[in-house]
Amino acid sequence: MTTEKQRYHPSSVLFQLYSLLKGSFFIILYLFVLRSSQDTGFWQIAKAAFLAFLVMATLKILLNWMFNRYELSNEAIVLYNGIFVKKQRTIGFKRIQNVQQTTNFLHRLLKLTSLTLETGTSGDEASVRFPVLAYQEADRIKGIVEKAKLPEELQPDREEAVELPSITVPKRQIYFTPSKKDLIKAAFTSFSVLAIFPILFSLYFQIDDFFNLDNASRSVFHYLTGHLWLLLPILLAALLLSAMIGFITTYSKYGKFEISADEDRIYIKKGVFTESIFSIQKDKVQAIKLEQPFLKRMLGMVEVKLLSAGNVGDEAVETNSLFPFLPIKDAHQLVKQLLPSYEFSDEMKPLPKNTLWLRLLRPYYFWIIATAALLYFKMEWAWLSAVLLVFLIALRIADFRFTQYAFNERFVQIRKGAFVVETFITKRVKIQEIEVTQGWLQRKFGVASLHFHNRGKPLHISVLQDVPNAAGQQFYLWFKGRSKVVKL
Amino acid sequence: MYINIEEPTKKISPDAIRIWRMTNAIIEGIVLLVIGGLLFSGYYFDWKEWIVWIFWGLLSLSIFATVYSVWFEPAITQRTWRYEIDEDYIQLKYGRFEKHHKLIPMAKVEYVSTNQGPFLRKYDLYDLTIGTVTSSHKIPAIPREEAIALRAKIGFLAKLKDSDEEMDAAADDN
Repeated sequence: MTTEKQRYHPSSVLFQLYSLLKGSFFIILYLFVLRSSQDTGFWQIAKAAFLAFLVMATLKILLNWMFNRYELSNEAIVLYNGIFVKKQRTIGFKRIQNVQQTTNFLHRLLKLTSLTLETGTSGDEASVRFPVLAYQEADRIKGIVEKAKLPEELQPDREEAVELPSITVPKRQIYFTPSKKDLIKAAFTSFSVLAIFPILFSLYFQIDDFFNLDNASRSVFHYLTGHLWLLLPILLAALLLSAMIGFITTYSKYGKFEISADEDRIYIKKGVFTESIFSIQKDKVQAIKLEQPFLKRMLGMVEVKLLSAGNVGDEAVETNSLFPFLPIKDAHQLVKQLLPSYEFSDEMKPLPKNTLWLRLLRPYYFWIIATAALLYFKMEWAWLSAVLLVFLIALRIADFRFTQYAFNERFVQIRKGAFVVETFITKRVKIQEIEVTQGWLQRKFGVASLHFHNRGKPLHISVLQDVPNAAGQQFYLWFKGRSKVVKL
Repeated sequence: MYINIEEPTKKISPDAIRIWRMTNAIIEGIVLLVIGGLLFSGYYFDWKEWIVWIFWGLLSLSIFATVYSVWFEPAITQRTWRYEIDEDYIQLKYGRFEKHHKLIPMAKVEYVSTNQGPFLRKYDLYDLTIGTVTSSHKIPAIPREEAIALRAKIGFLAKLKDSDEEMDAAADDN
């Protein structure tokens, strides 16, 4: 194993300069294009200050590259940062919760990639990022990190297994890739086929800001009312176009989707233009979450998410999601294959019947506030308050009917929700702490609430309201029995 | 119907009642002063009638709240607080109307600390704060020697049982 300090890839300088320019694009445009003619005192100082800033920033990028180093050993990665103030950071591989590799368009042009190792801590130093590096180096780092995950005594076994000719087949196996049918379903269920309409609207109003379109649109409207049959082809064309765009956006997101796994890790690959690979050690999966919004429930689909204690990628990328439009049966099958140590319980218990009354009896704070506001501001719309109340009651009934729970020796599984029905499964050892509460009204009904915390970003607190007293007691004892199972 | 969970046994210091009475009285006093000030300016500057009515409502509510939080609440809280710390778990139980039973495995404890404000200092008491990765918990008003002993005990046990999660999981899987 090489244990020498290394510089980051030289192209990282290029990438950082690029993002520096991109970030200051508007300032440059403003100072040197729009205000280029103004050379009075203030603007001159502003320009000079900005140029000085650019020079300093560039210098810093260069110096950082020259002085920063990293070093990999068998157990940890050490980062040496700082130009004048030297800083050394050691991150043990054991603490790494998941690994993400993202390759955007610029990376691809230069045959490079980026790598992020996520730890479970909070703050700026929660992750180790390599914004630019060669594939080879990324593979090397991943290799070391992943190998370090195995308990010491298991490691030689693994190497032996690789040498044996009979098991030369890579252990990593692909478990899921979406078919064309899946993609089409995904495009329609995610409403991305309709995404074009808001875009068109905002475009219209943006152009309208500059050129007054009111007259033009009025005359178009006038013409159309005279020739109603024209509406049909226009509508069809618009629908076709939006379906195409919707399909392309869906394709760019899920087109090359692939879930694979080997003995101890799960890999989720996605994205056509920007490719990202998320990998997590099976033991580091904190919990599994199955989400079913209303529409997906109608269509028998489900989204399965793996909870990690580390960050799971930014924005809408949701790298930790197994394909979001899985048929329920396939989803269960997939989870079984990927995480054999997890078990779905088919025998979940519903809440006792009488708790429905308890749930309906609880005060409707939102309704009270809404009604008060309505009475004050819009007396004539007061009937809306009745509609709202019926709606809220319906939601509570739905939630009551969907709520179920089960705990067996090592797992707890709960389901709840009205619009989005969510099933949550976690192992007892992954639960950080529990709480059983019982309010005054709950006591009258002989029920209690269960709370349990799981690691995650953000941390995940599950609450299951109104289970029978006996179940609350059982839950408490179940968690207490933990010490008999976990050998330390 | 009370839930049948075996309660922890240790109680917090009875002095807590007097301390909380004092702190709550100060806080509620400030609240009453503010509302009084608002009422005064409501009449003085001739604010709208309904605003003044809201102030009266707030005032009567906070008088009730003051009686409750100065007279009843401290005694109830002190009487119902229980905790127990053994090798494997920290158990907390508190609340009268809404009862809370908490269970924190020692292996998941990240830090423990003792804090003392001016009122606690007067009675030589400490608050003990126990933190996990996901939250923190306070056991209020524990006598000095006990608090320091508990801090040392938890610190020792938590280190001993430091949760190397993969080890937990491995043990669980086998």
